[in-house]
Formats: sequence, C-alpha cells, structure tokens
Amino acid sequence: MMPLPRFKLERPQSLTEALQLLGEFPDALPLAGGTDLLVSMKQGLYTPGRLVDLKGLKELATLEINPEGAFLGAGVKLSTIRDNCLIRERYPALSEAAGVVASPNIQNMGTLGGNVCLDTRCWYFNQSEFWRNSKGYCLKKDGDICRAAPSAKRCFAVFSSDTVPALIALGARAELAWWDGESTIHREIPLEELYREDGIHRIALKRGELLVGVRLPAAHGIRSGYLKYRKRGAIDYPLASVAVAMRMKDGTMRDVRVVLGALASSPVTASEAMELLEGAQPSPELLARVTELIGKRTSPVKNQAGSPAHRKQMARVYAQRLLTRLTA
Amino acid sequence: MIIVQMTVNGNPIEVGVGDEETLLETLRQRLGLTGTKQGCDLGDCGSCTVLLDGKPVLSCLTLAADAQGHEIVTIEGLAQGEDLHPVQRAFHEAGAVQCGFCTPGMVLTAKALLDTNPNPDRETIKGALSGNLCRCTGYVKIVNAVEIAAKVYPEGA
Repeated sequence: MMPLPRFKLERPQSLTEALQLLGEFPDALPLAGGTDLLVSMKQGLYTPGRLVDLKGLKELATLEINPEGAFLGAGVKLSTIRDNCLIRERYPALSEAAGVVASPNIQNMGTLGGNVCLDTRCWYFNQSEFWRNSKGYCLKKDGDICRAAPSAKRCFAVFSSDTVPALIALGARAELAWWDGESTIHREIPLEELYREDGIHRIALKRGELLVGVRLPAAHGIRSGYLKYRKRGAIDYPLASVAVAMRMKDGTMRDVRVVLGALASSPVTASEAMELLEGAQPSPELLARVTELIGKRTSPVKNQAGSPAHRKQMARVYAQRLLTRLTA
Repeated sequence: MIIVQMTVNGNPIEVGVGDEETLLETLRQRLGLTGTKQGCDLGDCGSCTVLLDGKPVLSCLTLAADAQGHEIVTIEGLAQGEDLHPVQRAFHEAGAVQCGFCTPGMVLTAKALLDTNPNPDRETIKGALSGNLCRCTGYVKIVNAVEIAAKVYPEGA
C-alpha cells in the first residue's frame, strides 16, 4: 500500500482559474497525467497542500498541425502524440520519443506537458520514505549531502524526459503563462532555456507559471529521429538518449541538431558534434569521428543503473546508429 | 468528499470519494471489485490496469475524482454470466495463467489491443503488453493466448 498524502483537489474549468489557483496558493502543484507526480507523492517526496487538476482545461488540449508548424497543447496525451500520423510524418523524432516513454498504458495517461516538465531522477531520491530514511536523506530531499557524489555541492539528479531532446532538436519553443493578479501573462521561450544544470532547481518556471504548450516550426525537409537506451525495452526511464534533426541538401547535412538526454541534469546540445556535421557530406569515417565527440562536457555520476562510462558509450553508439539511419 | 458519477462495467454508479483517493482504492475498497490487483502501487507493474473509455490505464495513478463521467471496465466486467470473454477463454486454453496476479491487467490490456487491432502480429502484442509485468510465465503463453483470442475476434468479442 502506497497511499497518497492528504491534499485538497482543485478542479478548475479554465486556464485562467488554474493560473489564479497556482498563483494564490504557494503550496499548490499542477497535476496533469499524474504518472510522475503521484508516484513521487506516494513516496513522500512532495507533499503539496493542493493539487490543481489540469484535466478539465480545453486550452491545454489543443493539437494544431499545419504547413507553418505545429502547436501541441501541454495536456495532449503522449499516446495521441505517438499515434498522430502528421506528427509521425513531419516530426518523427517526437513521435518516436513519445512512443518510448514508460509503457503504452502510461502513454495513455501521461501528457506532453508532464514529460516536458518531468522531474529529475536519481537512485537516492526516487525511493520510498522508508528507504531514504534507512540510507540517509539526500540533497534533493531532506538531506544535506549528495549520496551519489558526496564531495559535490550540487544535486546530480538526471534529466529523464524523452520528448524534450526530440523537441529541442526540432526547434521547439515553450509557451508559458501565469496570473499577475489582474490578467494572464504569456511568454514564449526556446525550449532549451527552460532547463538548468541543477537536479533541484531544474526548471526555469516562475512560481505559479504553467506550461501551456509547445510550438514547433515548419518541418520542410527535416529528417529526425530519437533513440533511447534503457535496461528493459519498456517502463524504464532513459539511461542515455539521443535526438537528431537535420536537412539534407545537395548531399550535405544542414541545420543539424543533436541533443542528448539522461547524461546530465538538463538536456545537452552536442555542439561540437553539430559543428563537425554541419555542411559536411556524411561518410562512415566522419560519423565515427563525430561519435567520439558525443557526450563531451557531460560528466554523469553513478546514480542510475549502468556505470557513467557505459551510459556515455551507449549515447555514442546510439548517436552513430541514428546518424547512419538519417543520412542513408 | 467528492461525489463521482461514473459507469463501472456498464452500471452507472455514484460514489463519494476522498480527494487523495485513487480509482484503485475506490474499486477495491468501496465497490468490492477486488479483481483489479494492487501490485507495486507506483505505476511500474500494470496489475492495476483498468479500461477507461476503452483505453488501458493504471488505476493506482488515477485519482478517483478524475473518473467523473467516464466509463470504467474492470476484469469483473468482461464475462457475460457464465460465458468468458474470448481473451479470458484464450488465457485459460493457452495456460497463460500461473499465480494469476498479473492476469486481470494482462487480459484487459489485450482486450483493448484487440478491440482496436483484431489482427496484431507477435511484436505488436508484446509491445502492447510491455507495461504489464508477469513474474511467473515468461510471457510466451500470454502472447500465445492473445494470438488465440485474435482468431475469434471480432465475431466473438
């Protein structure tokens, strides 16, 4: 039995009402699919006084795909993203990523917004109260030491979203909204700016601010894909992942974007690899050289299954496979 | 207390639930439908799977309040009197049940698959069932069972 801690459930019927509740109550957290937050709450990691249930909000359910781009509401289910034939055709990286989040049944519940705002994860954090009490608490919750890297001053919990590397590679922007006391204020930022390299202060949302949706640019000629390494073929979070988007013009690679997941506390843009690929003709030799640069500047610690070196190596293997597939 | 109106196995019901109550707790403790199993209670194992508007979801991570207005099917809702549902019959025939704890979730996930895709290949079946863990069978007979059930779909459904 893992009962939920007590909270008051708020069920707003409009985005404005939801933002007002989130602005008014500092102890409130937004609830979308619940497949991440409710698990953490059962483990005693979060004990919000209120949950603001976003399921009733039509504003978050928008799914618009046209020749100029796409707007995907934060409340759209991952299984809808996975199965949408236009997304599969134009933004395959996103479709592939949504299809490997947890398991198909969880994809029926989890939302795009929930995966974009997914909490960072660590062996020493995502455990029951009993486990954490026995082992000793960690920096991210109730403790004053990082159990994975005891000499470090910061939290190394791992960025574990599947859809975000794909979305960043595809050039996504995040639409955010909050209530300033009188009206709803919207802002739009490049999605990568939403994340911080810090397992605790992982997301750059203001208090009471909510992700409304994600905007994608037109997909003219874009080839993209996403590969995820994990222990089992389903259910697990990524141990390493890679998303690539690019165009091919006159036999050369253009607008190349390579984004890595699960190797740091935020998504990592593989800029050295991207520079080498940009404008070049794909060849096995080039891809092998590029692969060596994958994961440079990332230093994962031992806080997930598999050693950090193994996770980085698998990111290289998967990057090579994906680049080979996309340039074929 | 929140009053929730939903349809459970075809019967419209109205039940009072707590804010922090999961659909799994409501089904098992308030409605006595203990066919839905409580396994890990954390969204890993799939044994609490029920159908919400025909789609398999995990009742341990669904707030009971969010079932408002929805149609829920549990394992108790599949058989028609003494007549087992084709998927149940196939699990029996194939010997796909050992301890039986994962079976309700497996059967419901398989039913949802066959309802949308009556002719799945083995890989599709494995993919659809990948969120339902079984610690006994090694899965081979479970996949066999879904193949057997597929032969009588949709006529037998």
